[in-house]
Amino acid sequence: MKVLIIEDDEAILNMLKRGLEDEDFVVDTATNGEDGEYMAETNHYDVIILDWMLPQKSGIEVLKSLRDKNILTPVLMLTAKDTIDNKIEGLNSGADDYLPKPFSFDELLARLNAIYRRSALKGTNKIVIKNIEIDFDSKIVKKDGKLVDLTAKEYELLEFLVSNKGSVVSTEMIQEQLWNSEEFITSNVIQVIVYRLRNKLSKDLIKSKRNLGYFIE
Amino acid sequence: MNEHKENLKSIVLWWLGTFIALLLIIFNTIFYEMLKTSFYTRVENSLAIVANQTKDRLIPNSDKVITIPQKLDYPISPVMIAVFGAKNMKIVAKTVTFMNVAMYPYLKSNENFFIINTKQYGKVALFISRIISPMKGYIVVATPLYRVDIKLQDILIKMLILNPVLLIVLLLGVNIIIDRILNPIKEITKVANEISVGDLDRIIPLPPQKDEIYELVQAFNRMVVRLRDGVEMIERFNSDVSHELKTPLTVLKGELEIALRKDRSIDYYKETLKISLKEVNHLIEMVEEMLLFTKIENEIGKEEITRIDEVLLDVISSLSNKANQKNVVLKPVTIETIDYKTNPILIKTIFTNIIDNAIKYNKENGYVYIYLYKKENQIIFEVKDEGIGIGVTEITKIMERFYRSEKSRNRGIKGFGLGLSIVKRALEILKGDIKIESQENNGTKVQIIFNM
Repeated sequence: MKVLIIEDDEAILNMLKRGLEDEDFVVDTATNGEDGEYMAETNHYDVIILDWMLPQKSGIEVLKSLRDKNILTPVLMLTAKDTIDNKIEGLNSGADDYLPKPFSFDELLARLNAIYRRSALKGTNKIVIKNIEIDFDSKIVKKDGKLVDLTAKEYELLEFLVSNKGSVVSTEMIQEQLWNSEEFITSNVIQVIVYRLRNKLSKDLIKSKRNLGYFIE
Repeated sequence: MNEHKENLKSIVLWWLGTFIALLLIIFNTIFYEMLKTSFYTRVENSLAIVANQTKDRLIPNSDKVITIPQKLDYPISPVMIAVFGAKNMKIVAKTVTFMNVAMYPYLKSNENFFIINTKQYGKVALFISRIISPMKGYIVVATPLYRVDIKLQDILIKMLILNPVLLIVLLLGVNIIIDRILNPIKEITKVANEISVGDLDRIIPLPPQKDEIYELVQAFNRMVVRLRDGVEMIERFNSDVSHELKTPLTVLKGELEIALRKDRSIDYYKETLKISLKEVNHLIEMVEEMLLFTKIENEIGKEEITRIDEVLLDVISSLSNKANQKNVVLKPVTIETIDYKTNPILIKTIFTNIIDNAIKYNKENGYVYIYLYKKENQIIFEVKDEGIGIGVTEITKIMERFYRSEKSRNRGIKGFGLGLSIVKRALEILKGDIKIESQENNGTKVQIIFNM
């Protein structure tokens, strides 16, 4: 899952980045509203974690202008404001969820997963394709009922392809999804991961479309 | 309050009524007595005229008999006249109407005017005059007083009726005036009873006349506004404080939870503990600043002659350690000996915060130049740093509570944003001024000025 964190407090930002990367999230960060909005417009993210109080452009303003530009990436608002009015204002501005500070990291993870499930996986937490079974909550993949050991990147790619089931994803999209904007990889890396996935699961699960990308039927 | 409720209006009416009633009684008694005296004096004068007129016209009849002339043009009527002999004081002549009273005691007296009671005519006024011709004796002129008395009685009755009416009209008038005075006060009471900390938006409508009540209402409304401002300030302070406390708490909670999610390396735990310690220190700093903020309020009014140069040197030496850690050099340039009547704790707070900021926001290996000098009638404390500076748009905001410039946030400089607002409050108490000149990335100059 690829997440954008827009948060001005560096200590909180570092904590979130460290914690989420540790959970195999791909994390991009921005420390102010303007940068955050630009990144959200130009890249694809599964969820945006947005702080309310930001310098230059507040979280609510960023959220409103994203929604005005028809960017519907799910947004989880973080804020120290915790009155009912604040919650209503946040949700009315187009936030998908709302978490008051100080929050529990476990709860943040659970909510991120729930948002992701609702949007990218259309509400399911388990999917079965032929003899392959994927559990999005526990990130466990089974083949014929037997556990398949996947690396983080392998699982991420599988999940990404499954969430875009039926449509072709380009190597650029995969690169953007699996790595944050500061990491550089060669397209060869993606080929290797696809090759390994095919070996571990089944040869014909992931199909290639020359010069276009990969897809799962 | 006791059970018995005192009513201002009834008190005023009762006392005013009693006072005016007494005044009326005294005034009218005096007036009535004066009127009576003046009436009787007139009667006396008239009788004296009659006596004089008659005296000259007494007609000697025979040796011992005289006749009193009739139908003279008297200024008073009816008149009764009698003449008494000087020796035996026996009646010599009299008009028919003259009353039948023993005149001996009156004739012997030195007085010449009497008011006596008779069976025949009731109250009667007597005037006695000596005569020598046609014989030695006395002439007594008398007139019944019933006319005068009826007039007096008339006046008395009118007074007795008119005075209570006057009193009632007066009290009714006073009643209306008191109501007009008290109604706004009742309104104030009503609103004051309704006002609570949660509802300070009430304002009492101003009365139409600009009188003392108007001023009272104005003062009351201003008080409510001041209270509201105070409560708003406290509420904002509370919400700001809890908001500011939440940030380090979020980091602490998050870092600790993440560390505990799985087994980690020792280095990972160390890193987590380091971050946590930093946040805990930050929390301590915040709490101390908050306490300082409330503490300075207790210093109001406590002033003494202070060697402020010594206070400054103390501050410099206590901050030198912190400056060393950041590789910043504190450089006192001029520090004049100054005695000044002020609050040493507030002065120390101001110096500490200003120099502390200059250290915090300085560049690596930067200098902090410190001046303390007198100029004309001013004491000037000046601090220049070589740090990140403050943007033009931010310079007005930095005195606000919890405001931290964008750069200070982004550079991860820990602070609470209370420092300068503490300085601001201390300067308000000490009646000092602050001037801040700054260029971004080119250092900041802060001047604190006290007028001697």
